[in-house]
Amino acid sequence: MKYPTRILFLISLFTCNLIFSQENTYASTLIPDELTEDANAVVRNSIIEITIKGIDKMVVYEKEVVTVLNELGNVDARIAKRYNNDTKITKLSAKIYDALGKQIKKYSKRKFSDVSAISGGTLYSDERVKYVDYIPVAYPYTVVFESEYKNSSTGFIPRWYPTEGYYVGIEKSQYKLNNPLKIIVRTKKKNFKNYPIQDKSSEFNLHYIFENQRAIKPEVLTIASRDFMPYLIVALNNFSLKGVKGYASNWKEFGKWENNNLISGRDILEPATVTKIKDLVKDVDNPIEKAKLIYEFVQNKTRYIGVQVGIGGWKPILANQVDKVGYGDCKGLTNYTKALLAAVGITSYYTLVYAKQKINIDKDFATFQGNHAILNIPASELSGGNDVWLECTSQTIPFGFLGDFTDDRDVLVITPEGGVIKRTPSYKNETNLQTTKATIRLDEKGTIQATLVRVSKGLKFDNRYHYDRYPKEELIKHYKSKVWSYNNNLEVESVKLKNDKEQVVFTEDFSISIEDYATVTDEEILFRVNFFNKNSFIPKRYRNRKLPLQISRGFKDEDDSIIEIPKGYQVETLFEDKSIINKFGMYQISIDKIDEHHIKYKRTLFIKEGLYPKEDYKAYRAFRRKVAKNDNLRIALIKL
Amino acid sequence: MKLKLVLAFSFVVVFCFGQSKKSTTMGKTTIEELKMQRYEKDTTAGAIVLYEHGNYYINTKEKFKYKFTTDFYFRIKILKKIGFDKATIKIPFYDEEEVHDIQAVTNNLTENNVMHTTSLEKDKIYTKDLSGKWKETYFTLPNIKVGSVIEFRYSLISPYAQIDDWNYQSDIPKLKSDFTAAIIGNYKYNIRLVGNLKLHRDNFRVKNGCFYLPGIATGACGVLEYGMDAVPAFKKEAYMLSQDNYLSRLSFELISNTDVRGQVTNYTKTWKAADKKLETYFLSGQYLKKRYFKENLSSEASLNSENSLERAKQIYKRVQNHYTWNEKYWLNRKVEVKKAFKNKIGSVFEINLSLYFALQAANIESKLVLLSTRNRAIPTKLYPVISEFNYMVVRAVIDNQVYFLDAVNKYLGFGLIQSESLNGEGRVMDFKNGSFWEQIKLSQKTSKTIRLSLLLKDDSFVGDLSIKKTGYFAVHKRVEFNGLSEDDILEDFENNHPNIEVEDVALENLSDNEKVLKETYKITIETDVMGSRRIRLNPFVIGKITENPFKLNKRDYPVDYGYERSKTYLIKLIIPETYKIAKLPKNMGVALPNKGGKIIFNISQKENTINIYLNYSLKKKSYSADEYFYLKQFYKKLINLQDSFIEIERI
Repeated sequence: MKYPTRILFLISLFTCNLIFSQENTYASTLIPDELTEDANAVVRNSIIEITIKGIDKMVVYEKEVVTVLNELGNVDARIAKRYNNDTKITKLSAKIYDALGKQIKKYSKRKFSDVSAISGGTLYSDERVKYVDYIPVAYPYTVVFESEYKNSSTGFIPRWYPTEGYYVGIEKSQYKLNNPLKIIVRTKKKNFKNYPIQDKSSEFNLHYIFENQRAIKPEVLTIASRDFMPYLIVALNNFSLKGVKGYASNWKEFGKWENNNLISGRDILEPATVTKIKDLVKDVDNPIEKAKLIYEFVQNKTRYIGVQVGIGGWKPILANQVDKVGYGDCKGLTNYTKALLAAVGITSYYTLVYAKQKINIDKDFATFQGNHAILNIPASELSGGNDVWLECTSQTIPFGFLGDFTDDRDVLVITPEGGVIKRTPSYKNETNLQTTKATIRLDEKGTIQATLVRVSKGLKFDNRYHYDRYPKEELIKHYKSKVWSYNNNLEVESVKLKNDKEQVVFTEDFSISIEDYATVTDEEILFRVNFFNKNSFIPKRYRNRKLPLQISRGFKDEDDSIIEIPKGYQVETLFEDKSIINKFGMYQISIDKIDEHHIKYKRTLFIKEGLYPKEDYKAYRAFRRKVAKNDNLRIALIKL
Repeated sequence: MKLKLVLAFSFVVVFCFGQSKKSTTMGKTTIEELKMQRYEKDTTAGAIVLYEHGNYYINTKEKFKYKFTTDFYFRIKILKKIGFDKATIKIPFYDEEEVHDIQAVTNNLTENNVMHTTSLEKDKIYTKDLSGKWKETYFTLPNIKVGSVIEFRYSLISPYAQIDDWNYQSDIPKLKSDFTAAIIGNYKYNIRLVGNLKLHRDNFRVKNGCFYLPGIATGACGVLEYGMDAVPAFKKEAYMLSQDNYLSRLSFELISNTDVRGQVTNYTKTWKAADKKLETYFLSGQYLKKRYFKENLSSEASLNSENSLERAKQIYKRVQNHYTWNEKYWLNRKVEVKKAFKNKIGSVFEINLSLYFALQAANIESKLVLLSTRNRAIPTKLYPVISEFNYMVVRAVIDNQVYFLDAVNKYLGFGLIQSESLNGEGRVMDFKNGSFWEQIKLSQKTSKTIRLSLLLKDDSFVGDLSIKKTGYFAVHKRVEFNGLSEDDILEDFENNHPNIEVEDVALENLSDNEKVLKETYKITIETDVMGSRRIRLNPFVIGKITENPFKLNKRDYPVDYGYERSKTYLIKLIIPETYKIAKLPKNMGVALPNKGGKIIFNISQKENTINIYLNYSLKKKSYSADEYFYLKQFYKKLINLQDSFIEIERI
C-alpha cells in the first residue's frame, strides 16, 4: 500500500504546486535579485494598450503590477487615475497582494474616491482624479492596478516611459497600439539604442517590449533623465482635440492648425481699449519702444490666474475678456499682449515652450508639446536684428528678459503661415555676473562695520529682482537667514535696492554690521577675509560615478574689499596669491597691504557651463573643495 | 476648521426679531478709501481689512427652514502687489452646509478720481472638494490693482448648531472687525475671547419674546455685539507653539440645547459630564474588548512576565509593532479598536486605546490621557471642550513610577510620546474619581554624545567617531535611517560632511528602541594645512552649530522646544611629535537664567594629546519672550566657541 500513497502524495503536491504558482505570480520572492538592488519598487508587469477606434475615439487599457519594497517606494505604486470631461473611465480596479502573493485587499471602481485635481497656480479646471489611499502594513507588497478609459481626444496619445524613473527596477514593460483603421502613426523613439527594447511593430500597429532593467540611481550635476532614459512619443497625423479635428505631419502644418483653430480670432478688443492703447503709444515712433509701453501696461493691469476647462487648456481666453477682468493664465495673457501689440500695428507670435525644466520642443516631431506660452516679436532692424521674447505672466520681469524659466531652448512659434522652431536666448557664464565692492572697518573688539554694493546681472539678476516686492522685515530676514546665514550676528542697518529694468541690472547698497565677527584674544585678532561671498558648495562624493558631469549656465563673481584694521595691530603674514585655472573655470584670490591700516582683498570665482565625461567629476569636486576651503581662509592681526 | 457634529433639531418657530437686518450690505466703499495709499501703523502690509462683519441668526426665509445663518461682509484695501492674493476668496464649508448670495465687486479709482466698480460674474464662482466632507466655494475678483478696494458678502447656511470662531486677527491688519449674533435661548454656548487683544465693542443683552412656537411658548434670545478696532497683523515666529494659542478670536462652545418638548441635551458643561461622554466613546463594551486583547496577546509567553515593568514593555512593543498608523487622529466618535486591530491599521486613538486595553488585560494600572497636537491650540482649562483634543496617550503606573506611553510611532521608546503631541498638560481620564490635568513627564532623556579620537598624521586626521543618541534624537535618527542600507548611510554622511571620508560604518541598536542608538564611523579628514610652521585646527569637525536659530531682535511669543535636550563632545586629538601646542582656547562656562541651561567647556593638554569636553544643555521646554535675549546670546556664545582654534607649532 505504500506505493499508491506515494503517488497520491506526489499528485497532491503537484496540484498544490500548481495552485501555488498561479496564486503566487505576485510573490515578491520571484523577483530576480539584481532588480531589487538600489530599488524602492519593482515594476513586475506594465502594459499600456491603446486602440484607435477613430480620429475622435481611442480606448486606453493600462495594467500596472508593482511590488513596493520599502516605504520610499509607495510613490511608485500610486493608485490614481486622472480624468476630465473628455475622458470616460470604463474599468477601474486595484488589488493588493502580500509578500507571498496572497491577495489581501481588493478595490472595485466604486470604492475609489473621486475629487477635484486642480493643480497649484490654477484657479479652476475640470481635471479630476479617482484614487485609492492604500496604507501598507508590511513590505514588500504588490499592487495590481487596472484601468480602461475612452477618450474623444486623440491629440495626446499616451507616451511610454518604460524605466519609470529612479530607484525602480523593471521586470517587464510593454506598449501596444492597435490601429485597425490604419491611420498614419508617427513615432519618436528617444534613447532606445542604449537599452534592449524589442520592437514587434508592424506598419500601422505598434508593440514594444522592455525587460529586466536594473534600478537607476540619480546623480547630481548631470544630464536630465530624458537625455539618457528611453521614451516613446506617438502622434496621429489625423487627430481630434476636445472636439476640434486636425491634420498635421510636420511643424508647419501643426502650427497652421493651431493658429487657425486655437489662436486666430482670439485677439478681439473693445474699440475703447484700442483707442486707449493707441493713445498710450502716440508719442513714440520706434515699434520696440511702443511694445515696451504696452508690455508695462499689461504688467500693471493684469495678474496670473488660471481657469482651464475643456479646450481652454489649449485655447486662450478672448483678449477682451482679459481686458475686462484683469487676469488670465499664460495663454490668455500672452494672447492679450499680442492683441494689444496688433492694435498699434506690431506683429507678434504666440509661442509654446516648456517652462522651468529645460526641455526642447522636439524640432523633428510635431505634436502637442510645451506647458507654457510666451510671446515672440520677430527680429527686425529696430530690434537690433534679434527676436524679442516676452514673458507675459510676470508683473515685474523686465521687457525682453526671460530668465532661467524659459531660456536657451527650442520653442514653437505659431505664425499664420505655420509653426516655426526658434531658440530662446541663453544666459551663460560671464553674463551671469555679480560684482561686490565692500569697505569694511574692523575694530579691536572684533566687530565690523561695512558698506557694500552688490551688482547683479543675467541670471543673478533673475534671482534677485523680485526682492523689491518683499516687505522690509522679510527682506532683512532673507539677508540674515539665506544670503549671509554663515555670518552670525549680522545686522542689515540699511539697504537700498535699485531694479534697473532698462539695463537689466539689480543693485543692492548695504550698510551692515557684524558684532563679534573676529575672534579676539590677548595677542591677536583672527578673522575670515572673505566677508560676504563665502561659497561652501561641494558636490556629493561618488565612489562609482556613472553619469557625465554637467554644469549648467555658469556664473562669475567678482569681489573687492578694502579692510581697515584697528589701531595698535598689524598684519601678521598675508597669504600668497592663489590662482586655479582649469576647464571648469577659475578661482583667484589675492590679499595686499595698502598701508599700515588698510588691506585689500580680491576674489574671482568663475564657473563655466559645460558637459564633461564622468571621469571629470572627481576633478570638479576637488576644485570646488579648494574653493570652499580658500573661501574660509582667515588671517591674523598681531597686537603691537 | 472645527468639527461640526451637533445637528440642530428642526422645529417650527416663528422668529420675529429682525437680526438679519443688522447684516452689513454692499456698496460702502468711499472715495477716501480708494485714495488711501498706506497704512501708517503697518507700512509692510500688502492689504488691510477696512471693515468685516459676521452676523449670526436663525433664518426665517422659507427656503432656509430656520437654519443657522451667518452673513459675512468684507471690505479690503489692496495696498501692494503682494496683497493681490487677498482678492481670491475661499469659503470652506462642511457637508450639509450651503453658501448663498455671493456678491463681490472691485472698486477702482479712475484717472478723474471717480469710483469705477466691476462686479464678479456668477459663472466665475467655483466649488471644489477638499478632504473628507469639506468643500470649498471660491472666486477671484476682477480688475485688481494696487489701490483697489474689494467688497464682498455671502451667507453660510448651516444645519449645525456649532458657531464658527470669529477671527479678529489674521495675517493682515484690520481697521474694524465686528461679530454680532442673536442666539435663541434654547441653545447655550460658552463664549470666550482668545488672545491678548481687547474688545472695543462688548454688548450682550437678553431680548425677551424674540421667537415663539405657535401654540406652545415664546422664548428669549441672547443678542450680542463684539467688535475690535485697529487689529494688528499676526506675525509668526520660529519655534513658536501653534498660532491658534495667540490669534485674537471669539470662540463658541455649545453647552446645551433645549428642544420644543423641554428636553435638555447637555454638551460639555462640566468635566463630570465630559468624562461620562468620553467614557462611552472609549470604554463601551470594555469587558469584551479587554477579553479580546487578553485572548489575542496572552498566548505570547513573554507577555506573562512576573515583573510588571517587563510585562508592560513587552505589551507596548507588541502593540507598537502590530500597528501601522494611518496618520489620522480622532474623528470624535466611538473608536473601533477590534476592527483596527484586525486590520493592523489605526488612528492615534485606535492604536493607543488598544494599548490601554492590552495593558488593562495584563493588570497594569493605566489611564487614558487626552492631548492636542502642537499645530493646534493648547486645550483651554476654563471648561471642557472635547473637540479641542485630538491625541491620546496612555498613562501607566508601574512600581509607583508614572510612564506616558504612545504606541503610534514605531520608533518611540518606552516612556516617550510623539513630540508633536508635547503641547501643554494632558487631561488624565480617571473615570472613577474624575479626570484631572497633569504635566507630561518623559521617561527618557534626549541627548547626543559625540566622541572623537583623532590622530594627526601626514596630511590628514585619522581616527574614530562615535555618535550616541537617546530620546527624541534617537527617534529622529531611527526614522531617518529607516529603509537605508549602510552604504546609503555612509553616502549621506559624506554628503553632509564633504571634508570627511568614511571607511566604515557600524550601527548598534538600530531596531531596539530601548537602547542607546550608536553610530560608529572610521574617518579620515583631509587637511592641507600641513607644511606651514604654525597651524590652526578647529576640533569641532562634526555636528557644530553654524547658524543662530534666533535672528529677530525682539520676540512676542515664547520659544517652545517641547522637551529638554543636551549635547556632549568628548574629543581627543593627538598631534605629531614634531609639533608643540602653541595655544588653546580658554575654558568657559555659561548659564541661562532660571536654570534654563548651560555650556561647560574644558580643554586640557598632556604632552601631545589634547582633551576636550564640551557639554551644552537646554533644560527647559519653553522660554518666555523675556528669556529670548539670553537664549539668543547662548547660541551666539556656543557658535563662537565651536568656531575657536587650537594652534600648534613646528618645533
